[in-house]
Amino acid sequence: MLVAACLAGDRRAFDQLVDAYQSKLFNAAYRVTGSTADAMDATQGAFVKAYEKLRTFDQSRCFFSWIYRIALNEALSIVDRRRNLSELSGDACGGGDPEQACEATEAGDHIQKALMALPEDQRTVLVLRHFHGLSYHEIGEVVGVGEKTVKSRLFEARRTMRVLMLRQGFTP
Amino acid sequence: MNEERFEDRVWEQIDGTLDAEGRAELEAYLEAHPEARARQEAIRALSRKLARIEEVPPPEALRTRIAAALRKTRHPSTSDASLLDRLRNLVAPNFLRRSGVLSAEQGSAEQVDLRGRGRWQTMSAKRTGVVVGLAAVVVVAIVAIGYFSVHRPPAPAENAAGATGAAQRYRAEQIKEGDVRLDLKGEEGLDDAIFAVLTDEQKLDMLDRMDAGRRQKFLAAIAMDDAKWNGMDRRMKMAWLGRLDADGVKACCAAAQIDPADFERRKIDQRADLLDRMDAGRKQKFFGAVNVTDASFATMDRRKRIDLLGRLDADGRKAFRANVQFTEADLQAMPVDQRAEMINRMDAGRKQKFFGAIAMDEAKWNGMDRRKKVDWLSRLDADGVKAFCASAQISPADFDRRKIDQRVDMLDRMDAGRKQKFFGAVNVDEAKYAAMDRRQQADLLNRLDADGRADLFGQVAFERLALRRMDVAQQAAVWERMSEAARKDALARLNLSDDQFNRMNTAQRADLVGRACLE
Repeated sequence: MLVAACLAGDRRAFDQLVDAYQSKLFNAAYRVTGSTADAMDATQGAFVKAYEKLRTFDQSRCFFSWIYRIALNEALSIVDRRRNLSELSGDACGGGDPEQACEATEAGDHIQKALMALPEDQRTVLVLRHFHGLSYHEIGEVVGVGEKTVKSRLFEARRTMRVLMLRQGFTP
Repeated sequence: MNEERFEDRVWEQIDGTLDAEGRAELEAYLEAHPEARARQEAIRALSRKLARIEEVPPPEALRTRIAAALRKTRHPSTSDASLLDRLRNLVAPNFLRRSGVLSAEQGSAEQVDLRGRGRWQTMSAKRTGVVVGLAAVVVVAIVAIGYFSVHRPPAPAENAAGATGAAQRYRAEQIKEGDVRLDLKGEEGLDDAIFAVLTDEQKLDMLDRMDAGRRQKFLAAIAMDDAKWNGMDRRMKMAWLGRLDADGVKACCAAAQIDPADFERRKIDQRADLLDRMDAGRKQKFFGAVNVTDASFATMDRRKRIDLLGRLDADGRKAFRANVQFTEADLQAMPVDQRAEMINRMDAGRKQKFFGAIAMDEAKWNGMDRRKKVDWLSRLDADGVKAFCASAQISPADFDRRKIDQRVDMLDRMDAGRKQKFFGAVNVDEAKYAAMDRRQQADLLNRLDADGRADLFGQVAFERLALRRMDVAQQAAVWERMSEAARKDALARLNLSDDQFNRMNTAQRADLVGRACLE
């Protein structure tokens, strides 16, 4: 309804969409990028892209899945760029930056550290499942893969996560 | 079952997706490997830990940043506020309020349920209270002024004489105001109303129906080249670049030798600079990659064609309208809501023109030939019939019993007073229009005769336009200027002999020259 209102000319309708989804998108982006600054960029970029492409949105589908997908793509693009830049600069940490590691440590967030060590596709499904409670089907819609693939990536991510946390000396 | 599979089963159990077979398998494994229970518990603990992770509140600055970024981005709808501002003084807001489109409270969004099956469209108003009926349902196809001769008009609208059979080709889905993009130059958007009203399906159908010549014209009109680019102002350049699709972006990056991430990082005016700085060769390569040719159009699937239409600027939409053929069948196939919407989007001036085109008075009636009188009377709606019966002092049953030419005779015989009363009852003005329901509004389009419809949808060939500017004597005199061969040809098409023509009076010859043009 808000999408229809926005397309019909109600600028405030999109403001309501931003209010409704800002936090969720920011968190998804944060868990994927591991950085507050990058998460802000990704969230802002996602809303701008969604606004620009709103006419292309199929209103019979779930808006949340659609905008989530945009946000995750923004976040993953940032991660890719950061990795490319760190490769160019000879950063041996493989994409993690000190600020990011610092954030994770300060927050005592072993989870976030382990998340950042996951491959992006596994990280994404794990974030969507455990931090946003999406079903396999919903995750599939967001990520653009089938449920089987979601399940397979999720299970792989969980296995890796457990190993990484054990290595960190974390016992829940 | 190995350890990996065991872990997967535990996760499935936590997710609630473990089926009976899986449960049995898991239990059996735990029975056989009691030490595995510790691992099961560790996995459950991790799941609980993940579930307890709190949301990180976004920084306060984020909301401000998003708002600022959106302000710089063009609204995806057609109800562009800046256009509303510009047109505010041209539209009578009171009319729109009376019509129910605009609520009495300024700035409130009014839901106009046009289909009765759910929300279809919302029109919203600025606080200062003007919802602009986006105007101009004009589809232009005017032939250049030159030597006038009576020829068959090029590609006349099908069923220009006004057949009412509906093509039923369209299942119109929602019509969204957001389908119209308003070009930054602004006022050209006035003519976008018909584009806005058409659904993707309808536009696509019209695009597919374009003959090769028209399609070439259209594609050429939307193509970009160095000269055109250099002639554009900065806003137009930015708007054009902003409409590039993913393939266009790729082509731009290839020509500019930058990567897509770099492209994304640049603001739109920086991208315009990038293109400005390209040498002619690279620019040509880029434009060549983004322009649509006949060959590339032929390979486009439905989605790409819709996307192409969605990316047209004002000039592109003009080119589309100039080359499509909006036919009687198209009009009849439109659902009520869409037809009513077409009228609603006219600005005040054009609406007046439309009402004028369907209005009748004694002078106009007396100037019409019998065929036109029959045509006009046959288009009366139920209220019109009631008004006729009241003026003619007959019952509706009596009206129904009479044939159409008898009804014409009755109207001919009415005294001036009764005629005026009747015409006054059937003519529409803004107040009457505002009080109409959707169906009545949509039906107004049916009151237009062939000429009126052709004018409305812009498919008026030069010859027809020129004729309409002539008085009866001038029209009749057209026959005198024709060559012998042209006259013979025209009469043959009209199935008339020389003898029959020679016995005609001025008015009849004038009417004939119109038919020779149109048929």
